[in-house]
Amino acid sequence: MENINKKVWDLAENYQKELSPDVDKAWTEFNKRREVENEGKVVKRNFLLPLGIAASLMLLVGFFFFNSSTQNSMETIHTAANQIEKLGLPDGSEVWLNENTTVSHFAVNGSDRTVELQGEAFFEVEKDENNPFIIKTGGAVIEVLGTAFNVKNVKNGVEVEVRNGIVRVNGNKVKAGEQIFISNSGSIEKNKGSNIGGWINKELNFDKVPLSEIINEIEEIYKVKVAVRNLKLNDCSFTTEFHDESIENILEILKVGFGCELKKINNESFVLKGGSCR
Amino acid sequence: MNPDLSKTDQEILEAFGKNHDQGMEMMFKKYFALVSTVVYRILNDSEIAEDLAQEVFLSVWKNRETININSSLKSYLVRAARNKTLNYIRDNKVKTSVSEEMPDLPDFTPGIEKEIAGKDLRKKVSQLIDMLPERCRYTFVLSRFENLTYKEIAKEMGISEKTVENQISKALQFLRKGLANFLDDK
Repeated sequence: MENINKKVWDLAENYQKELSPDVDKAWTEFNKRREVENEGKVVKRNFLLPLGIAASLMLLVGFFFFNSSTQNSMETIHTAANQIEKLGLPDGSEVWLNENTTVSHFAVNGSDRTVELQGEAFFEVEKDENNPFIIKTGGAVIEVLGTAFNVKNVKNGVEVEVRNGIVRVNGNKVKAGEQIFISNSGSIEKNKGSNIGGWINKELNFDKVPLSEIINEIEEIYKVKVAVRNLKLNDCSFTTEFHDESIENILEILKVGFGCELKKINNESFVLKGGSCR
Repeated sequence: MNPDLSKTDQEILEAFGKNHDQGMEMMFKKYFALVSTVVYRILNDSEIAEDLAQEVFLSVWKNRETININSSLKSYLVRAARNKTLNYIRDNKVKTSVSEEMPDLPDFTPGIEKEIAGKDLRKKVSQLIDMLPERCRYTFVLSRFENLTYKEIAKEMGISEKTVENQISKALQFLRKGLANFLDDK
């Protein structure tokens, strides 16, 4: 190294940098994060977990298939990654399959309307009061007469959200706008649903929804990661609608809404820095 | 004084072994500032520093049943903080950096007396290093204070070794100009 550069290098020793955070406040924050961590076992609506964990929970994993006990022969459809498929069933019902999803459905319209699902799908079921439409998935059996709803296998259970009508999940009534979560151990949790089937055409409505939940939904639908650096923003609610917007436009709106800085790391990851609840 | 600050590492680890909750609180209260400072020194962003420091302690908490801290608690946490920061840099690779332009040097009048000069030097050095463009600053700080080799820095930041070398020489050049007063004294 050049002599003068060596001197500069040595002088740099004087670099001083110290942070004096409010430790008591940080401790409170830590306890909050720790609680969320512990709750990983009891999943809450929309998975209010730190980003990384949320991402792994969002993996659409199906657990086991029921053996078909139907006489009606079954046909099986599978979607690949990044593929969304619409399927018409013989009884007139329609199913939108999200990526990495498998549906086995009845081949002919008859008294048996049983479907087996692994992954995530949105159903619009044709009314037939004499023959319930039945979905078997994970540890849940969903019975419907005629309605529209979303079913999703997550890591530790099955989540069903109802858009119209009433659905019966393992005997529990779930009404329009509601969500039910059946864990693999059989425990049940009911919540308010939101943007049910929003992944089909990216129609998203948020009415006074905390930013953390908005981000979770966007991350899942757009397959991106968005880091909100200012943790105080997570609880701030926001009201907005997105109609098949690009991820860049959505984040631009959040950026302006909260006065953040937006940084695009690559096509799949973004950072929102700074900002405040307005 | 906060009772948790006066606890020795040994006492904290013993407490942690017996009662995770209590030990965690002692550890957190004693070392949160230090751990945030380690991150802050590298990233120069206090918000991210506190966020990553939280994650360091959260990892300790997550592994509370199996964690085995053989070295001193302090060096364990410092190392964890450094690794967390390097991961952060790696995951947030700045490919198209916002600005690579070197900033203008700030106005500066050196102090006359020796003592003041010493204080000024610290202030000046800190000011200059913090003014460096992001990528340049990372490479310099990682090399100078974290003792990473060019090869390691290149790997962590996803840039070539040649770029690391260029960035560091850019940083040195900038500091050399900014510290001209102190260098001429010799």
